[in-house]
This record gives sequence, C-alpha cells and structure tokens, in this order.
Amino acid sequence: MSEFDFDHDGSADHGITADYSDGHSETVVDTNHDGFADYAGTDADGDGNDEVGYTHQYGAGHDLDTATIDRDDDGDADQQLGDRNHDGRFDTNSLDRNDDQRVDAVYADDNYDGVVDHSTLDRNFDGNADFDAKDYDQDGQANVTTTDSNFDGNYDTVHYGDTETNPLAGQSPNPFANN
Amino acid sequence: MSYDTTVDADGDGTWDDHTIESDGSGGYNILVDQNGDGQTDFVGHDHDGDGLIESAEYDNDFDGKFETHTGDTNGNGWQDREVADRNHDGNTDLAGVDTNEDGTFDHVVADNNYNGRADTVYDDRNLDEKYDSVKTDSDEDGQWNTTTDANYDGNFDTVHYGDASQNPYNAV
Repeated sequence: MSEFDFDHDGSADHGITADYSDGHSETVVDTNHDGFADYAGTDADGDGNDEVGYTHQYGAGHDLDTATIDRDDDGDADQQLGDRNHDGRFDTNSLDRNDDQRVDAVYADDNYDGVVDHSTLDRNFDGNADFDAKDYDQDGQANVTTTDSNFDGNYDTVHYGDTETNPLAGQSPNPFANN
Repeated sequence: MSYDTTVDADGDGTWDDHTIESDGSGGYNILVDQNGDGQTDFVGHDHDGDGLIESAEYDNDFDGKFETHTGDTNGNGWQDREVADRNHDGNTDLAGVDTNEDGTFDHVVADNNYNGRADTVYDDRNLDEKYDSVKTDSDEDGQWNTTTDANYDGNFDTVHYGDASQNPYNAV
C-alpha cells in the first residue's frame, strides 16, 4: 500500500531538542526556516527514538496535521494518524500491523463526521490492498466491499452488503424470461 | 374412460385443473393451462396409464410453442430433468435437473445466445426454489463471472469477476 516514516531533519541548525530531568526529550524542527515548525516529536524514555512525531502532510498552511507513532519503540513507525481537513480531529488511521515498514490497514472518516466509513486492508501483507469497504450511509452495513480474492493485485469481487443500496436487489433470473 | 390423475405442472404445490385425453396407444395425455389464457401450455404423458407422468412438454414462455421437454428419471412421477429449445431452431439450448424434486430445476445450463455453446449456469444452491447463483461467460472465453445471493435473502448481492477482461476493477 505505502510506507511511512518519521519525516524530519533534526540536525542542530534546524531544530531544538529539550532534554528533561525525567529522561524524556522533545524536539522541534523548522526545516525550511520559515518560522513554522515542520516537526515536533517526543521521546518519552530518552532512548533517542521519538515515539510520536507531528508533521504537516495535508493541504496548505503549517498545521501539524499528522502524527506518526512508533508504538513498540523500535525506531520504526507503525501507525499514522492524519487530520486531512484540519478540523482538529484525526480522520485517518494507518497501521503497519506486522512491522514490515509497510502500511497494511487504513481506516478513514471520509466525510469528516467523526465515524469511520472507509476501510482498506492488505490482508496477506504482500504490499497490495486487497480489501476495501465503504459504508457511505453510515448505517453500520458496508454499502460496497471490494476484494481481491486471489491476491493477484486486482480487485475481482464486489459485495453489496446494504440491502437499501444494493443495485442487484430485486433481480430474479428466469431462463425462460426473454424468449 | 375411468382414468384420472393429479398434476402440478408448475411445481407450486397446488394440483392443477386438467383435461385428459387418450394418446391412442394405451396411455394418456394430461393437458393444463397454467396461466389461464385458454391455451394448453403443459402436456403430460402417462404412457402406461399408471397415473404417473413419465414425460411432459412445457410452453414455459406461453408463446404457444412447446419448447421444453421434461422427463421423470426415477419413476416417481416428478419431472426431474428438462431440455429446451427456447428459440425453436431445432437445437437444445437449455438443460436442467431438479435434484430434490421440489418443482424448481436447481441446476440449469443454458446457451442464451443460441450459438451452440453454454454461456450461463443458474443454480439454486440452498434448494429454496430461488436461483441464488448465476454464472455467465458472455464472451465464451472459458472465464466466468458469478453473481450470487450470498446470504440467501432473495437478493443478489455479490459479483465475482472471474473473467479478467470483463473486470471493471482490473488494475485499479
């Protein structure tokens, strides 16, 4: 699907790192010297690896709209939260569930109402998305689920799980109907 | 003539009004007007006069022509095999089997474009008398797309594109 990583240049001439007596440190970086922070990260245990880093990824402005997280503190990011519309709420959650440095699950709130309505998965961790479900009327039933059943990199099956929006509903095949 | 029998031509569980005529060779023909249009659209043949119909002709599309021939393969009176020439070109273009003898042919293979090759398969997988799987090979390349009613609620809900050339999601 994609990869994510902590994205900053923490060299001394671009950033400031504050070390605290409890062992944690915080880093703020202004890579392009425009007066706005491009990265802010926290290393809670002082091991040199930030567990959370904030960057600007979406649209114009300087909002630090993306949190990249190293949940197991092994130095590699394995989760990313994004606020694509800058309303102060995360609306995407990307995960690297098997720690292979590749995103294999994305949960998104595409209409920004606070409820996840779109899920994309790489179920066999081969780097290709093979499951995509959208619940655009948010009734708890996915309207359209597409899957790559043989994991060849192409979606091949569509399932309409919500009867209210199923375009195939009401069809009644009859081999003698159109003669 | 003291002969009589019962007949349920459409397999709906209700005995149908019928007319009986001698076939002239010791058996009988049983005539039914299934749709009530005044025209016979079912003719059952009881060749040995034992009260059980061994074979039958159907006009399933009610066009006045008997395009379907059925047979009773196990001698219990239920028509459990069918073949049809729906376009009346002299070639069989449909064959079906009613495995559980519920009146619905639950596995039907059809040549819907009448070119001599099967291109559609209808299945009633859970035997509830409704088709819940339709496989099609419209371009007859041996790769089939399948539309199914995955939860058997009476509505088709899933399409599997087994034919890569017809898969709208290909390379997306």
